[in-house]
Amino acid sequence: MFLRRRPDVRASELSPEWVMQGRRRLVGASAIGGGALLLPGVASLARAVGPSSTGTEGILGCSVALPESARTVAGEAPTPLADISGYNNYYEFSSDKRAVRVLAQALTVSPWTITVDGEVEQPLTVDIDDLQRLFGSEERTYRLRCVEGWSLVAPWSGFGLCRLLGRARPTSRARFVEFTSLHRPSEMIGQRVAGGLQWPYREALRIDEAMHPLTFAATGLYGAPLPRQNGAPLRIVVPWKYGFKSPKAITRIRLVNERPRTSWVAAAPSEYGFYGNVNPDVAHPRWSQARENRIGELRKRPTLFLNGYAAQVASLYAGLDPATLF
Amino acid sequence: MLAAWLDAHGRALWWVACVGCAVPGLWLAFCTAGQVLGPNPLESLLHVTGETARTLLLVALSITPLRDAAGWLSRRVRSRHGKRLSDWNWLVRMRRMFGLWCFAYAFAHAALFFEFDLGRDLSVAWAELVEKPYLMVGAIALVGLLPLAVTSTRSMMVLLGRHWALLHRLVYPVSLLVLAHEWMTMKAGSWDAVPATLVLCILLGHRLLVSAGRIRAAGHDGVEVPERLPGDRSGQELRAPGTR
Ligand code: HEM
Repeated sequence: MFLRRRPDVRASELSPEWVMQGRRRLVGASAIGGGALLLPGVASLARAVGPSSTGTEGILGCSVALPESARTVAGEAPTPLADISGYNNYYEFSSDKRAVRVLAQALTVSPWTITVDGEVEQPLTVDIDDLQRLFGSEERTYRLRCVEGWSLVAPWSGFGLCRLLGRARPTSRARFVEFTSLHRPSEMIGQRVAGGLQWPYREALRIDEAMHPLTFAATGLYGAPLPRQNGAPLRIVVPWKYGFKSPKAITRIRLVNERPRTSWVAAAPSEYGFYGNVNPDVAHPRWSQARENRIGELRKRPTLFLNGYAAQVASLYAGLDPATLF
Repeated sequence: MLAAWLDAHGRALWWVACVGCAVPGLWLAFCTAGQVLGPNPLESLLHVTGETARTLLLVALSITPLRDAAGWLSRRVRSRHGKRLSDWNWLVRMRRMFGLWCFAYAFAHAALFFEFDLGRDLSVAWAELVEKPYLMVGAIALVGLLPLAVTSTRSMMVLLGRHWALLHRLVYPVSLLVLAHEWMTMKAGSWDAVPATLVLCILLGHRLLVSAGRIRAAGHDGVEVPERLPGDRSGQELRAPGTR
């Protein structure tokens, strides 16, 4: 697997205005008070000015390169494409994971645009065909852990989400990033059934999570365009969170000040938290999260804290109660 | 005619049903050996064994209502086979076979979970049983099925006498636990357990109506439903003493 060279990025993209502002505002803040912890945006900014450029500590935005170990999964072959594209949770089509592959083929993925708006200085609408030119393309092989207890290893291609967000230049009021998936009942048969989830599917991240270099916008899988059942033409991949935090078929990204109401949190707040961080020690109310079924394997294996990405992202949650992170 | 044929071929029917019950297990064994259980093999194993056990439980529970229905039908059409319809011993034998297969699948279901999910670790098993209500409910259901399986033989029936029927009423709470267990494993928004729940409601509702005297039972096990006397047109029926 080779990594394509990243295109040159303008300095303003590398260090968006709001981070600069945050730096100026928070420089010198050696300790993060309890109040700051309740305000994730501020807390993340504080961390951004912490001991930066020490590799994994306090990273934020595209200016920090990921180590090789976070871009690949060592010692394990990716899950076969037939399994990744034949076993999908995608309620827009069906809650039957084996039926999604067939039903999703009804989706028209071109033309397609993605709008970034809300608390940004430069709202923008990008055509799906311009993404590669604007943001380049690289490969990331990530573990993906579903909240239901299964997992896989997927070789995605796409770009760091921070590139797209950076271009829109979030304002200092932007504390959360909301993703809206496609709502098109004429093609998404699961959206015609009442009950269950509210459509369109909505997910959200704290802005420091969304700007984290691990957070990925995937447009391809196994070097080919993303299959429809995997979220074509563009999905978000947040490898340290349960799969429902990696929404598919994104049409709109909105930066907001208040924490958005996300689809699964609205549908079953006791079962799906806002954070959805993979944590073997925090059980789902009904089943254990201590172990997982890697696709294709019969025997379960232990689940890793933050899905094995703790070295990169644990600092985002310093001082927060793990139980609230589910 | 059909009734007479069924009665005469009860034994063959029993064998057909028995082989039918073995099919899901054989299929799983075949798929496991060929490694074609799909992307999530353990889920497939638990799913098929669990659903088969639950379905067989419902089938076993539907025998008595079916007998009642057959008895009712034979009275309506004044069939000469009314007595036999309600008194087919092979139907009762069939019910035992369904119950035993149900237990076999439920046991396999729990054993597979213990082996491949819990990694055969007793302390993990206990911790999880205590922590996860759906597992506790499933385990209680399995424990409830055990005495029913053990006392299913003819000699046990004789030994227990009228206590046997009392003991086997345990199947009603067990069936409720099984459905509760299934609902508890479902993801929010999944309605897969609805058909089984509806069927169970009908089957248990039937018994409630029978005990409330709203529906006539075909007779307790071994007790015949009275047959119309040939040529009787008065609508009067003879009743065996003590039956409802
Ligand atoms: C110690 C006893 C038991 C344990 C540990 C156990 C364990 C499990 C587990 C882990 C699942 C979830 C499978 C999944 O989500 O993929 C499940 C589902 C299920 N179980 Fe059990 N179970 C037990 C007893 C029973 C019994 C006695 C029955 C029925 C007679 C039963 C019927 C079912 C059914 C119908 C499902 C739903 C299957 C599905 O739709 O995937 N279980 N059980």
